[in-house]
Amino acid sequence: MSANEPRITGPTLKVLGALLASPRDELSGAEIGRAASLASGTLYPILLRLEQAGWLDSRWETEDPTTLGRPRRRFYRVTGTGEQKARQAVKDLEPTFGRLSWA
Amino acid sequence: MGLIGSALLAILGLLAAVAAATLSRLLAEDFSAWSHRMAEWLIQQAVRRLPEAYRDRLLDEWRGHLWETPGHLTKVLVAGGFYWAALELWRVERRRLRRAAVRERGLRLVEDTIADRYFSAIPVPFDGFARRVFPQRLRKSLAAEDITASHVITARAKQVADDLRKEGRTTVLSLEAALNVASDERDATVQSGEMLGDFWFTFSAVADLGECIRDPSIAAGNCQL
Repeated sequence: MSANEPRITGPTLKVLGALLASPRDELSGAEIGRAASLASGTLYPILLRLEQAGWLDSRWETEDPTTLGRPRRRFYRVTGTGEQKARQAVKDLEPTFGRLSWA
Repeated sequence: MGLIGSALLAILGLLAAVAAATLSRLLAEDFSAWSHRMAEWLIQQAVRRLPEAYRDRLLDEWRGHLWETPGHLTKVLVAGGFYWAALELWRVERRRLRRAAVRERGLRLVEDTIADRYFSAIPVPFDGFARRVFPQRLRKSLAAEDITASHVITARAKQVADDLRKEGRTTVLSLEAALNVASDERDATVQSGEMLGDFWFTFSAVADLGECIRDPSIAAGNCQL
């Protein structure tokens, strides 16, 4: 793994697992945090690191927040590169840790 | 203590329980009323500590996250988590800036070292031109090959340590230590060092420098530009 690739830690795998295991393509940060059981302080550095590495994409929801009467949410999804790299990383870890349910 | 004493004690106990329940209800109501402001304050403090590039986006995003979070106490705790995230993001950014600054200093040293070594024989009227053009080309070529200053500096330190002036040698070795060349960079370091050590720079060579660096099959000493 090159210097620019994100480190594969336990919380990182949880984030990727939450996104890949979801029936929807996209999840908001809060939804990812709940699915991965990660605190907000741990979650956002991981999301931003994965996004910078090109493993995740994100976008604002399209509806106008003033119409909705609440703050807008940002949705994350795994890119093709991210999915490929995540599955490869998990495969590399399998001999030591065994299979993951979403891999 | 007779019956009256026990009854009084029981009444006092009951009053204390009622007072405690009332007080905790009041505190809970107060907390509910203030929790939104506390959470917003925590978000503002967190955003202030973020690298500038993240501020606008994460302010909105974290407000959205908080809206999705149920419970007043949980909202405050989540907002506290954002503060932690901001500190981590700033730490990462600071490390990136420090590395970029070291790399920049390293590249400048490489430019000066190589310019000194290879351009000293050029006639004076052309020397200034070469020194102005060469660094830009070198930077572009180094960047294109993802050869970092650490590769070059370590190689140069090995090859030209004896040639450098006393002050120059000390500087190179200090930067080498600071850049901490990882073991998996050593092969690339030796290769790039061999290529650079054997280049013969001419004016036309400056433009073709990238070709020599890109082609590892060009043996050391044969890169006649």
